[in-house]
Amino acid sequence: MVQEKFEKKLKERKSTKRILLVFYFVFWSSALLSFRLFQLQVIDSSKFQRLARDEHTEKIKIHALRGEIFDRHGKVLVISVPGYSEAAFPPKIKNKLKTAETLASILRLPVKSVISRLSSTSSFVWIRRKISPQKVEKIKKLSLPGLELIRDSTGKQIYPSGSLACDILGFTGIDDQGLDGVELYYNKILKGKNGYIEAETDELGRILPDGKTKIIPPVSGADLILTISSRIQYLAQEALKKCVLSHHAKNGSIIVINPNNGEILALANYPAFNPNVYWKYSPSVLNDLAVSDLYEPGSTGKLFTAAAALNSRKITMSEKFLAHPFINVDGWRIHNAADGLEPTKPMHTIKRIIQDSLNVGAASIALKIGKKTFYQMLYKFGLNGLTGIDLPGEAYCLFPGYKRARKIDLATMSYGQGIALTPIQLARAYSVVANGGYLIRPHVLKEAVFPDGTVFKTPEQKGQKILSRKTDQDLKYLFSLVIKKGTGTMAQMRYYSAAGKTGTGSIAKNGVYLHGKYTASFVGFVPVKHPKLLILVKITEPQYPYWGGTVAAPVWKNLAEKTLWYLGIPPTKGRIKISLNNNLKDEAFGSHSKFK
Amino acid sequence: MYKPWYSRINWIIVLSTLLLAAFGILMIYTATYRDFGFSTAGKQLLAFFVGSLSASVVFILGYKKICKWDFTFKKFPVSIRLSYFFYGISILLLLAVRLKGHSAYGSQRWIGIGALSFEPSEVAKLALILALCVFFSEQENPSGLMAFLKAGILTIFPLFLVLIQPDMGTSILLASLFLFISFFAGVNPLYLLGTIAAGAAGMFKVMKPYQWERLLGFLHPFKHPTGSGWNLIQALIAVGSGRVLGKGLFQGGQTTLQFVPQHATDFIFTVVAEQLGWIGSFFLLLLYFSILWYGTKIALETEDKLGKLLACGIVSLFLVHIVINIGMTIGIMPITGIPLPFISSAGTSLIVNLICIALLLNIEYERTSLIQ
Repeated sequence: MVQEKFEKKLKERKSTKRILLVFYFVFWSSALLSFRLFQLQVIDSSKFQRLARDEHTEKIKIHALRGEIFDRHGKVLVISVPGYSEAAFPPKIKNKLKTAETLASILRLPVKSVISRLSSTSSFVWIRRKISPQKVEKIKKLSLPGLELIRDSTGKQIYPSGSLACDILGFTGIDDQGLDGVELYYNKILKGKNGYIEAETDELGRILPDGKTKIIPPVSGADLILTISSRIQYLAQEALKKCVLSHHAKNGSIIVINPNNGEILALANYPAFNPNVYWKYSPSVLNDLAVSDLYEPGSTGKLFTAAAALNSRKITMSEKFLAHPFINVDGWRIHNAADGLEPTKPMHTIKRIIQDSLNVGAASIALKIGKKTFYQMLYKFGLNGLTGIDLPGEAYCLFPGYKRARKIDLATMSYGQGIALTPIQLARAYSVVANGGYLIRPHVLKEAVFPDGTVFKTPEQKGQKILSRKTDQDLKYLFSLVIKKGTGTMAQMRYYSAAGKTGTGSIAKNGVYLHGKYTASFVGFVPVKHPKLLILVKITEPQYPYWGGTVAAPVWKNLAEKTLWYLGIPPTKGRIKISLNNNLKDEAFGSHSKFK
Repeated sequence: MYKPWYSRINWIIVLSTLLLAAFGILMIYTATYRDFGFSTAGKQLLAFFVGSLSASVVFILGYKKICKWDFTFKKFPVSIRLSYFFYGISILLLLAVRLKGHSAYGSQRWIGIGALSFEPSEVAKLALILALCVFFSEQENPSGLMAFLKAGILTIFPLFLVLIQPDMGTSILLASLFLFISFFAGVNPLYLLGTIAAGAAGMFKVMKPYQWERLLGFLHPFKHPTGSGWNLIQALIAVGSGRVLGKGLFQGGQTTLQFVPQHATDFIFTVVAEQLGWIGSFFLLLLYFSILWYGTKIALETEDKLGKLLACGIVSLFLVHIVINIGMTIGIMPITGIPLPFISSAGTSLIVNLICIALLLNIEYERTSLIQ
């Protein structure tokens, strides 16, 4: 009896214990739920709020107007076409009939269709998109509630000058994005920020009749002012076209650059294209050869040999080197090139070697100064990197690595074979000589003007000084000799002293130099003492005579002369009597008539 | 000395219940006014009145009578216990659903009565609780294997009928009720673990991969954002975007605009969370907590074996509902079609829940009447 009672009590206690477990269940599950809710609604809430907003709003894009592009004188090169659209917010319109009638009469739409749009159940409708400017003026004067004239972009870029500066400007695709040139390089600041009309939607994406609407206006892109001068660009393009066609060449490039600050005044390739209809051209035409085409420069590459030799002080100006008739390196025999002038003696100083473009001489110098000195100079000229020009598609230099380079590589590189670089890289290298030894950064952007009025200016950078003053003066002297009495006499100008170098580079294909195919080039700066201008002319595969001195030098001279006159740079030599010299007058003021 | 009647009623539970019901009607209205005006909320209000009336009747009759009243037919010398009678009725109703019910969302759960519809599986929940409690309280050795097996047989009929509707959520709920009540009745926990293991094994055997995907999709909702994860993602967005203070009544696009499916029934918690924020949802949890807490207290204090068991059964009924329902909307439970007590737009559920509250109150009422 007692035991039974005890057992019963024990059992009861057991069940009490189990019921106590319910308390734990209740307490802990409530705690768990509240904690998870706290996590969702307090800790992570902003994430979910964003998701909710995305789901509930329909964003109708208003395209931002793309920035326009001007040359350095303010001449417009790219125009963006704005479009206007009339939007209506039906719930906000009081007198629908009257509004519809006014709109219909201005936009010349049937009244019925306007009414049906205005009485739509959605909180936002387009009345008409792409309204003509005259109608826009009229609509602007109306002030009816619930209507909004929205400045949109047609997404259309117009290049009013056609193919002028096409390689610099590039072009834009269908979605208003830059595809090449400055349009691509500065796409981010050019394209602006799209605006939106936000309207609340239901779960099926229908715009709600009583939903909230909001207009976030677009921000136009920045206008760019380039360093290009349309006039010089035009002269360059015409000169290049004439030259390429008359010599039946494959293509050509011209770069006109201010060597003191790296501003590119003109950059042209031929064949050119019209950016308005860019899709009609093959990719090879759209390619910006001046910054992307690697070529073996030939004798213009002797700059690096001369700079390395003089800057390292391993040779003197009066030291003589073997320059004739050939030199044996690693079992290869190096001859002088056919375009160099025939030397009179076997041994010559560096003056004659540069002046007459003697390959054997250049190789002798390079072998004397050694691989290390030569490569140091290449690196100093920044040939192991990019020039940093603000155009897309710049290519890296190609030359044998320092460790792999053999003697023969050094010997050929000394006269510009076995090393490939782009025209812009070579132009920069010669700019260094022109500006007194500073490695400048070539660029095409002068200023970017943002819609809020802020102006970004390309900072003036002098760059690193890589050549000593003495070396620089010696090099200027050597290159002026080239034009005075060397291979570049065809570049001589009557009123300006100039310095430059011819180049006739062999073109290799599959490891073999092609017979009769050369790159003729001339690069030079003017005036010699205080250069204002550096021009590089490169013509690929001209027909015989294909020498740089005969093909590129005359083009260089013509272009340089006209550009100097255009820039108003005073002559540095010769006697000028402006009032009496008819010929000069023509060149100064009437020359452009030839290029119309 | 008798206590006055009003001090024998647990007013905290009454107040919480009334607040919850009112809260529910308001929430249903905010969730559906855009599409249905007041009709859905009106149905809930109607169910509330019917439920209150039935609850009052149950309260006046008392839980002992409801459970143990034997009535005999005059013509036949057979007496039937009222709780078993209810049980039998609920089985018949479930069979009727099988034969004549109308279906929605791919399962057959409702019986139409005019413009209203009636969900027998809700009744089955209460009927099962009553039957199991009565059964265990009358066993001489409730912790034995025999009692457990017999109780299992009692459970298997409604469970099977619900399972073939098919209604996964309610089946799990019935099974867990069975386990809970057996546990409180003193059944050896090893039997319960064995049952769970057997059930899990059975599920592995029967369920197809897509069903697993649906059941366990809550673990990685963003894997199939437009498929199995859609409901949960929308629910999470609704809950999360409500933040601390909520978007305000009738605001909140997630729920008023039907981004969240079933937002008036199974996913009603998202409405609360989106419109009233963390404060509102926490308040709701607090109301539930007070009912559960005092319900447990009643179970603990009652000497009567039947009362104890019944209180436990009712508390576990609410607890499982709340945890599964809220848990699924906030991504910690699989998504199943279980209503949120008092809040979801489900008339039958509301009526049954109110009756449960009446039983709970009556247990305490009866206990205090014994104190003299």
